[in-house]
Amino acid sequence: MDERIRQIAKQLGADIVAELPDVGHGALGAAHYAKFYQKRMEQVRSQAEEDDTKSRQLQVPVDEATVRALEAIAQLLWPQEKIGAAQLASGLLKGMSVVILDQLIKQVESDRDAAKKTLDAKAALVAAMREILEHPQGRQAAG
Amino acid sequence: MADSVEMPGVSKAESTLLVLFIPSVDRHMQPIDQPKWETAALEVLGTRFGGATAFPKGRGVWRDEEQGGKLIYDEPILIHCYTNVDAVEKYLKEFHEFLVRLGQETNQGAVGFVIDRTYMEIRFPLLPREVANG
Repeated sequence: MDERIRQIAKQLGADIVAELPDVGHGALGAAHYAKFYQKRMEQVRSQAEEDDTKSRQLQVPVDEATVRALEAIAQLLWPQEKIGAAQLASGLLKGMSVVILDQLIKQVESDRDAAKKTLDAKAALVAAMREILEHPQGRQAAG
Repeated sequence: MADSVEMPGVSKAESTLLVLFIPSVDRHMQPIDQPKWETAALEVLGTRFGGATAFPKGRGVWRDEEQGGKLIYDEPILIHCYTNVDAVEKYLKEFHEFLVRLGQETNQGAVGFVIDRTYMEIRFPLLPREVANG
């Protein structure tokens, strides 16, 4: 596989799942790809169901007020269902950790872009200075 | 040999095939607004990568022998886009944003796509409410 493709996958936060055979282009190729995709999505869905059942138990100390707050939230949001404090806490942790991780990744990318712009600006300045130092006559004549 | 001709919009440099799958259902097999997302994908790929072709979903179902002959009803639309790796790298942010939007707003377990025969996917874990609901 081309290293650039690997890098693209990494930057997209994507998992490389398979190298597909050359099935041709056009409608025929599309049909083969569609069948692969359908099968893959079935795997993803059944895997997600398995992951939900394979959970680890974390021992997390929680004070009584937090437990009561979690129970109240569950009761307010889903009054018809019996959702316990632990179940809601688990769901919140799972969701929030994904959101926080996503925000951290965006922050790192933003910092990297800002750092790159600063470096580019410095490089342009150095290049301009070098040009002046190497060709002082030309600059004076032009000016 | 016949003379080669130049065709507008066709370049030998566009040798990377990008395939995007627009699902018809969400992670719970509930239908999504597939035409809306087909149009959105064509807009992104057309704007950033110069053009794309949507292959309409085939009608009917297929039988999965590995799941005891279970019938699979997901009918994705495939979008083919001939581009080049430079363009993919250049518009990676926009492409990523679209994939994430597709995954989150249509509640997918994963969004799949192919670049040069490499199938990859971005995974989307369940949201807290869905976990809480079991």
